[in-house]
Formats: sequence, C-alpha cells, structure tokens
Amino acid sequence: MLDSARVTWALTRAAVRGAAQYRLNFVILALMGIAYQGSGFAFIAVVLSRYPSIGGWTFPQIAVLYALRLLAHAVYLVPLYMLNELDSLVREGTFDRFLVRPLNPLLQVLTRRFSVNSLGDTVTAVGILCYASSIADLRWTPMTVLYAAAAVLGGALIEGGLAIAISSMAFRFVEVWPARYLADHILLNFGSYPLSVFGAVAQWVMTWIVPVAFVAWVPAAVILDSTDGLGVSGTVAWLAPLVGAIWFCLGYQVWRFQLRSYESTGN
Amino acid sequence: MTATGVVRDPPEGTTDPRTPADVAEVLLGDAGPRPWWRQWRALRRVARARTAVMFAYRNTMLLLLGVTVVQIFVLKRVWSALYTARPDVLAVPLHDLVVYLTLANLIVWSFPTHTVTRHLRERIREGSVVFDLVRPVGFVPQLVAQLVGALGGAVAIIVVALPVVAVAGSLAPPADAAAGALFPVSLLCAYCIAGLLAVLLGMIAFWTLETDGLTMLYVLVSSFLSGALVPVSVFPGGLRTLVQWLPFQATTYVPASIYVGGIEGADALRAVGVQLGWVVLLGVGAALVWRRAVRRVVVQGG
Repeated sequence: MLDSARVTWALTRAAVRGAAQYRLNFVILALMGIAYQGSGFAFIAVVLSRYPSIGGWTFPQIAVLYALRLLAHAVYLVPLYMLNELDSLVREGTFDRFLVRPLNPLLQVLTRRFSVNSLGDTVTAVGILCYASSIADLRWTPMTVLYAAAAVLGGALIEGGLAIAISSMAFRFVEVWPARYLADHILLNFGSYPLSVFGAVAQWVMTWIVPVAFVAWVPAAVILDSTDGLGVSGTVAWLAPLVGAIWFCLGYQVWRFQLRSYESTGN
Repeated sequence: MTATGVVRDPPEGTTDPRTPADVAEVLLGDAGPRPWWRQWRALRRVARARTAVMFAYRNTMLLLLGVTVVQIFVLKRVWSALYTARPDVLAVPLHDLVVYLTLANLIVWSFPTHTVTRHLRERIREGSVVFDLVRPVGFVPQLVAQLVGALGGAVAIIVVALPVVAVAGSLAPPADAAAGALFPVSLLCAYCIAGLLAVLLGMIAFWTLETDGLTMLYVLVSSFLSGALVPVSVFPGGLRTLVQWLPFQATTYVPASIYVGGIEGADALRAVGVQLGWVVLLGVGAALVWRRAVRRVVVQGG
C-alpha cells in the first residue's frame, strides 16, 4: 500500500516533468482548457446580461454553482485525465504491460502522462470562484468552507466514478471515447444550471439515477442558503459529499469487473 | 513530364531535370490530362468512401448526435426558463427561438468537417499525403469530395434521428414560402463556407504538422460565434459587431434565421449576398494558401 503510493508519486512527478519539456505546447494546452470552460461561462454571462434569472437563480448564484461544478471537474480531471487514453492503450496492446507490473493497472494508466489541459480548467475554476464569491451574497464561515471543500471532492468523485465505469467498457468494446464525451457533456450541461429548470422528470433522474444534482447544485444551494425546491431535504443536502464516495466505489467495482474480461488484442 | 501527371522517380543514374516548380505544377492537379469536372466518377468514389467510413463508425456518430440532442434539450429548457423570468427581452417568440436553436445545432452537426480536418492532419503527419498528391485527381477536389461524403453520411443519420430531435427540441415548417425558397440557397452557401474554413484549417498542418489543438479551439469558438447557443442578435453590442464581421455566423445563424423568419425580405437577400461574398473570399484565400502549401510538403521518413 505504502509502496504503491510511493511509486505512484514518483511516476506522477516524472509525468509532470515530461509534459513540461514541451513548453509552448504546455502553455497552448493550458490556454485551451481555459477557453473551453470559459466559453460555457461566457454563454451564461451573455444571456444573464439581458435576463434577471434562470429558474429563480440570479447571475451571482449561477456563478457560484458554475464555479463549484468546474472546480469539482478540475479536481476530477487532474488525476484521472489519462482515462481518455484507455481506448488506444487497449487497442494497441500497451495495456498488457500494465498487468505484469507490480502496481495497480489503474494507477499505471493514470500516471502515464500528465495532462496540461486540466491545469487550464483548474485556473478557470478558481478564477470564476473568486469572481463569484465577490459578487454573490456569501458569508464564508469555517463550516461552509469545510463543506464546500468536501462537496468539491464529492463532486469530483461522482465524475470520477462515472468516468472509470464508462472507460472500463474499453476492455470489451473498441471505441468508448464517444460515450465518455456524451457523459462529460451531460454533466457539464445539466450540472451548470439549477436542475429544476429541466422539469420534474429530468430533475428526479439527475438526482436519484445519475447524481448530477450532488455535483454542484445541491452544495451550491446549501452554501447560498436557499435549499427550497431542491427535491431533497436539508439533511440530505448536507450529506451530499458522501454520495460521491459511494458512487466512486461503485465505479471502481465496475472497473474491476470489466477488467476480468480483458482480452489482449495481441501484437 | 509524364502524360498522366504522376510524378515518377527518375531512372537510375540520371539527374532529375525537374525543378520543384515543375513538380508543384503536376501536384496542383491541373497538369493532368483531365480537368476536375471530368473526373467526377473518381471523386464520387472518394466521397462514397468517406460516407462508408462514417457508417463504419455509426455508433460513434450516434453518440455524438446524442451530445447534440442533449445540447438542444438543455437550450430549450434554459431559454424557456429565461422567457418565464422575462418574456419581452427578445422580439422572437419562444417557439421560434427553440426551432431556431434546434435547426442551428442540426446544421452544425450535419457537417462534421472536423473528421476531414483530422484525416488530413494524420495524412500529412504520417507523410502518406504524398499518395493523395500523386493521384491523377487533384488534391483539392479530393478534399471537397471527402467533405461532401462526410455531409452525406451525417445527413442520412440525422434523417433517422429526427423524431428524437423533434421531442428534445422543436421542429416546424419554414416561416413562409419565401423563407422556404431562400433557406436551401443559404444552407448551401453555409456549407461552402464551413467547408472552406475546414480546408484552410487542415492546410495549416502543411506548416505545423499538428492541428489538434487548433481544431479543438476552432470547434469551440465557431460553435459559440456561429450563433448555435445564442442567436447573434442577442449578443451585446461590441461582440455582435465583431461577430458580424466574422464568417462563423454565415455558417449557422444566417440559414437558421432565414428558416424561422428571423431575417426576412431585403435583409435575407443581403445576408445571402454576404454569404456569397464569404464563399468567394475564402475560396480565393484557400486557393492562394494551397499554392504555397503544396511547395511545403514534407514527407517524413520518405
């Protein structure tokens, strides 16, 4: 266990050093991450410059929601980005090697390279959060800071669990990146607005089937102290971070189950 | 110069008397025996091959269409919520706006130019682009045929998925007869502009060998500035002026607005005129860039 942690850390450092060798690429990819996430926020800013609110949420409130969602996304993306490459690792047979080395194959996939785009996401998320807390009616207390941190981690675990479960389908099917892309898109699109906007059915599905609600909407409502219309009680809302832990464990179980049916493509 | 227009290796022991300009002339495709309009059978095969590739990856295409459907649904609900908060900001009724957004997103999805851009990038990077260049069919006509094939494949998939799209968003017949008549013209121009932009983007790889990042940036910027998320008329002043001077709105906003009657009468004709202007301008631009690009071909590894 301790050995695994030490090896993982060494591999991560090597990956970061590797990525930093290509300096221009490093900067361009980071900027790309900023542009990608910034454009989503630009849409909301443009629209809410003309309208008072979306589903009863004003621009400052939506900004808090957006920042929490993006921060959770960044916390998920920095360590788990390499899942995107699982398709090609399996297809090209590179994954075989991971099975004979004395470290969990998942950790080997994750530490293969370091993704720079995810740094851009992080920068954007922190930027929007600072901006949002300056314009929103927020009073940070030690309790809310602690809750926000736990909620961001929980949101990251929800995204991570989903990503691991879908990626592991690569052991059975040839191409799963479009499914990943679709899942990312659903989280990004539904997660950036108050879910009540999408109607009762969608809200229920996004709360109890795929826990999109617990990534940012529920935590944002708790922090902004406006938990009416959430569809979950105040107690459940405070327990939102736990949902992530449960969901991630489920995702990892799916990964373990799928890994058993891995058949090398040969070489 | 060989009659077929194929560049051959010179025989052993002789020096090649051809200058790079000669080779380039052959590669430009107009030195071949037939002009491009008489090679349509070959080009049709290129297009069909691209369509076949799209169908081979139909699961991928359907999942990506799912992304568009999600986007349309989210836009519909978000705009409905906005209209509930304040109904009189835009002159357009909500239903027309939803039809506009549905159509605009379908137009974007129906022309997956990025598949061709990526293909071109890979050919250039691997050096296999040389096989495309020495074919008796011109390289640019080949690219155009690829784009047409991609369009054809995507449109076929859309037709099957229309019922789902109609539920997620909203579909309606054109605003009136004039809109119905002008829409196909405007859409054709829009596809030409999007295709030319893709060709220009792809050819950057002749210089940089790498266009992945740029392609991603292009998809993002163009989908926002084309009006697929927000009609251009909603943009705040400065941004709107900027967008009106860029070609992206002519690829999506103009045809979709004409369809729902957002742009009509003389304005509609003027908008199509601007589209035609972009087609000419980007066409000339692409031709100029191509003349330089072909002299830059680097075949890695030989």
